[in-house]
Amino acid sequence: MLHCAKRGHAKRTGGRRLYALVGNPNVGKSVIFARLTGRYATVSNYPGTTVELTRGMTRDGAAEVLDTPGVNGLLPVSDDERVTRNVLLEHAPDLVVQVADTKNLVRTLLLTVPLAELGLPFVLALNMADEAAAAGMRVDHAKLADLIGAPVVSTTAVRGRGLVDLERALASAVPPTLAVDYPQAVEEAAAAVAAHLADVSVSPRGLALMLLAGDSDLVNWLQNQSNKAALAALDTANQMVRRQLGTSAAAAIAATRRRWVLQTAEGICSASPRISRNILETIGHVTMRPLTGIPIFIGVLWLVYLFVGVFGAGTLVDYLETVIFGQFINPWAEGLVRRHIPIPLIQDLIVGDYGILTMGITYAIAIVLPIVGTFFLIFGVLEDSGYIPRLAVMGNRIFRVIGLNGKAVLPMVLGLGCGTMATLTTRILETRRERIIATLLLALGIPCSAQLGVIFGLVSAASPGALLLVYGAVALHLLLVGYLAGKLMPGEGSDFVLEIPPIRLPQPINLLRKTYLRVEWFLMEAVPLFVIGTLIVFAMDRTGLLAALTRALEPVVIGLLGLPKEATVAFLLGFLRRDYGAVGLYELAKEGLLSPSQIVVAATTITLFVPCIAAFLVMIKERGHKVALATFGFVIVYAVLAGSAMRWVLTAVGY
Amino acid sequence: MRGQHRHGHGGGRRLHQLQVGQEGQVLAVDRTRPGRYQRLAAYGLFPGARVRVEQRFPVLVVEVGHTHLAMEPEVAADVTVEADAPGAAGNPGTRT
Repeated sequence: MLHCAKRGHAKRTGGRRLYALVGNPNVGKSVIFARLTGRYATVSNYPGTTVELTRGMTRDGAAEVLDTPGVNGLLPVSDDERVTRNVLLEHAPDLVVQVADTKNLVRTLLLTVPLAELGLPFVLALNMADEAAAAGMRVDHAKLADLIGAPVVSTTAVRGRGLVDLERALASAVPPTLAVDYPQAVEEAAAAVAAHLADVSVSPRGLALMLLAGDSDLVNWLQNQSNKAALAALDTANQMVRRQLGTSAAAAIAATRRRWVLQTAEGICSASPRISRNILETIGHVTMRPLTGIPIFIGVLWLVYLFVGVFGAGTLVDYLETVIFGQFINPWAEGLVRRHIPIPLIQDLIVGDYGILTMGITYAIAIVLPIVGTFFLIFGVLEDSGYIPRLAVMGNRIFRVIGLNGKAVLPMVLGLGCGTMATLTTRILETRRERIIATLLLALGIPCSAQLGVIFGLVSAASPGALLLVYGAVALHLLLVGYLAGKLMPGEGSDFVLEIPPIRLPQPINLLRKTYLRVEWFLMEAVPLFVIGTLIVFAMDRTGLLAALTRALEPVVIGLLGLPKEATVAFLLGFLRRDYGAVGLYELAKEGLLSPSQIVVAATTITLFVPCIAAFLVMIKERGHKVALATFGFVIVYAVLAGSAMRWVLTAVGY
Repeated sequence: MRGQHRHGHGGGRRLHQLQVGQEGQVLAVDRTRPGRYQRLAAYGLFPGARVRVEQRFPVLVVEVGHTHLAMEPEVAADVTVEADAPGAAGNPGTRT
């Protein structure tokens, strides 16, 4: 991974300077990034929002800025943390900007020490200054700047405060002079190892200290480089420290850094006691205690249902579909096309039964868009308020049953928005086993907002009880598959340790920007697929392939699932996008072709069906094609079997 | 940063054995699982740190500095704490 950590490596375009934003999770790196570059990166109030590198230019075009996933130290424990550590060593930035939460000085400084030791020009942005002031903290920035020998800037990035100072500091930054007073034995050990690390882009001493601190990843890197001299020196140095100090080099380094950090934090910060808890903190507490948290959770679900299910999928869809498209756009376009384009094939291609406009665009804009839009908006509120990590606290035990831990709540809830984004977010999980289980469950039964809304519409038409039946069954299948996967998959689970961010009032601007970007992303991603899907179905219909395929699949659709043969088309579309398939079923139900029990069977099957092409591609990228294909195949078979099991049960109880 | 340290009360207890609202000072963190140790240390939970239990169920939630940290009891069992004497006045910066 780190093979190109060499000086002079072609690392940026046009000789621009490269700034890396680094810091603990959820301290506002992405907000600072947005302020420096004018580019928006997704911002939320929970750790792990950024799992990939985001790049942008400063507004004056002088430098490129990298926004990195949050880290708690330079010894990585998960994939997203590894991304950040490798940036520092591989991209050799000209400047490291540590963004920090002023309230958490100890954690901040614990990261400052190894960052400063890399020897790159350094600036510390103490962000969230407003919250620290509200908590009664006063920080002596000048004294801290003296101690680390680098500029320290106070910022409240969400309100745009301190950004000018930060930009000024960036322009004049130099390598920090910070020198933590390690025991003599550690210094000698570091010097001995550093002597064999001449050809690196960061300070050899800093890198040597990272190796001595116990970074096994870096040891692998030395092995890959076959830098035998350094490996031998590291070994000797470790033994020498143990002999002289009676403890490991890693322990001695950690203890020294900690002493320095505690002393420094105490020296620069004064806190006045605060007596009362404010209303947001009270909300933060009651939302994660089971007694109050569970009723609140049910209330939140109800609100989401009202906003997305009733307002989005009901009111907005009705209006767009029956009025805007049904009475205006489609009749007008149909008239226009039939009058001016004399070729019937082209007419049908655009406005026929499987026409691009009448089927593809109408589905995407009139049905799916309002649902996705309302979901992303309310999901943004939940994200920015800091509510989602509190669900992890309450849900940890359930996640333990399925071989995961509470942390998995983040990708799972995000999956309710979009499975593709969620699959990327599984990076925050620590073991490969957890990432595979989470990916499998996301593909199997976490319906995305588009699909969720359409299925709401489809099933509530049957009866409200049917909705409970479908999602009860889906939840059971998720638990069952998760439980078995947890039992069968080799490897161990990981500790549940999760930082709970404070409850904050969502910023309307951030909320709107985020919703807008996600909706735009959805349109770019989904609409072409809807059009392509329509084209494929149209071509299959014309060539007789559709009829043949429908006949071939009859044993499954009619025999196993007991659905009318028209439903086959819906499932074929489901291969492109689950929600597209669900819309097909929705239309069938509206035409009165499905009985209530058939609706339940169809909805269960399509919910458990393969997600969409985009999610599949991300799955290949993140998990490799073997795992992705196995997941894909398993999910199709499982969905059909679960659907026919549902049919069997419904028949048995006479539903 | 958190004011004076207190000694001589109670001796070492495991973090998950503290009551809700109880505060203490971390005496030691078990090093047998380096990953766990490193992670807790990175959140500021290391010997010398002050910690306060906010919630015990369904998982433990503690406050270290201004960080609120949720963890399972098995993890907290690796942390030995000297609990403050009951009824003692809080430290500067302590919340009631």
